Amino acid sequence: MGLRIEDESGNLNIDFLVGVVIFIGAFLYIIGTIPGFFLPYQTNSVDLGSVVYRTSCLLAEDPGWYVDDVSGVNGTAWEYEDIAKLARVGLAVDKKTPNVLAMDKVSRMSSIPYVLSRDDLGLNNTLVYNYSLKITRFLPDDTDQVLLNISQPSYASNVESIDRTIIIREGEGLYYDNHTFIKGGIAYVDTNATNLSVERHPCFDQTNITVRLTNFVRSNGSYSGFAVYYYVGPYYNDPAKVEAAEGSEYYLFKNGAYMDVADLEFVPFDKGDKLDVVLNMRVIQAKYAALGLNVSRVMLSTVPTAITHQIIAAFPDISLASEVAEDYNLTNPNYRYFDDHGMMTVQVWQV
Amino acid sequence: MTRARNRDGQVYTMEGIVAALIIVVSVMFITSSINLVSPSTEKAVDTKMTIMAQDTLVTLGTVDQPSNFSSVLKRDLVAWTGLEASDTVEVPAGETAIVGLNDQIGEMLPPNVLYNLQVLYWNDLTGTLETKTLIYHGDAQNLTYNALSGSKKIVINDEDTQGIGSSYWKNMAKPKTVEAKLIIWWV
Repeated sequence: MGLRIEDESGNLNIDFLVGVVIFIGAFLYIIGTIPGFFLPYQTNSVDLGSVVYRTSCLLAEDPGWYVDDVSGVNGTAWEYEDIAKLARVGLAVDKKTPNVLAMDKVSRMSSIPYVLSRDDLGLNNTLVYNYSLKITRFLPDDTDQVLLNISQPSYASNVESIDRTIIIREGEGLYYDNHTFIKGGIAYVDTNATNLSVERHPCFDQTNITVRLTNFVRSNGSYSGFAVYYYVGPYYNDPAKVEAAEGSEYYLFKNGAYMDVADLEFVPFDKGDKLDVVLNMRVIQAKYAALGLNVSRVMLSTVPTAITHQIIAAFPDISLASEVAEDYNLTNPNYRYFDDHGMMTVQVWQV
Repeated sequence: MTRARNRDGQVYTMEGIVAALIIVVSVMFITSSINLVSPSTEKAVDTKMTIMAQDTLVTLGTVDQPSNFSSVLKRDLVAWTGLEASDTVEVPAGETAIVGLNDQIGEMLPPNVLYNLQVLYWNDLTGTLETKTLIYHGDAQNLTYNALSGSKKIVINDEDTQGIGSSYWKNMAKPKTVEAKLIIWWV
């Protein structure tokens, strides 16, 4: 039974008002919520497979790029530049050798802040992804070494991953009878087998020269009178022989740990030990650069005066040392890249 | 202000509101519970397999000396004397280079993946493209599951066969383009 209104001058019932307001409110709310019903139908983590493949290609096949906004200098050697100049992350040695990663780039990658590396891998666009990266190196003695392990906590249910077979390249140099290798120069052994010499093209290169001695034959230690010499001079003249100063111009490392040259007299060396003689070329070249001289040869000697039996036994591999002097040069089949096989695993998920 | 003589109107409004709310909320719950994650098609697995085969050949074919253009893969293919593998012979006996290559590829691939290695080249005498099988682990054509392949082209020059008298490529016109094809499948 309706209301009985005596006065018909256009009053509205409260009832009617309330009803209409509620109706309009509900109607507008529904209209506003309808687009939200279609949100799950937008592309959302559907293309993770292509994203992870693209990221793995960037890491394994692209050398990366840096740009200096101030000077305009750019290039692929981003591992030696400031992080602020990094434009694109890539670990390959260069674009002509895919799947070969440069060790320096892998080491530098661990010092890049995570968000910057993610952005420079192209994972921060309309959709944002996070990544995790693991690079393992397979060493010749069947052990695995994890070089890089960048991971992020994730609560994503949809993660895509890819494995790439890669090669880790540390540099190039001479494998001295498949045991010793020399990085930074070319080695030769002279006829009386007293010394191991490393030749390099006369240049102002400041790359350190590393001579690694392995496969020691004497197990009860003491290599006395160890000395390192280098030859300095203009290339067209007979170079002068200078003895290198231990501690500033050259360093000894036994199995990666610093060792004093005086310890060589009593520390025993096993067959599996490695002795690295690293010459600090920056210091040595700086000493002679102003005179226009440069270092052409480095020589390692165990005894300043020739005592044959001691010397022949002192060097790790005597079979090569007793041969006639041979010029090892770039075409020698033992001059190779220092490559190790490895595996790179990339994972990507949407945040 | 009018004073209602009966209360019918308010009940209808309340009912209307409640009904509308129930409908809206239920529709909202239903549509937001849809989880649209489209599963990866099998194409993603195929792509990863192809990449695995391609990566294996690329890393074996990487030049390992700064002074020349030789790689492990090239040296082993040059040293091949021409004996083929078949369904009874996994790796031709006497081909030490191919035996070494077989071991190396076996280490690089996961344990539940089998592979065949073929070489394809143009035979100048017959004028046809020939396919020779160097490593045989199964009949890739008749598998009930997908087999995928990756390939790498290698150019063999005179210097590469110098000193290797038994090389299959010794007497062919150089430079010879040879395609090494690695066919892999899951087991």
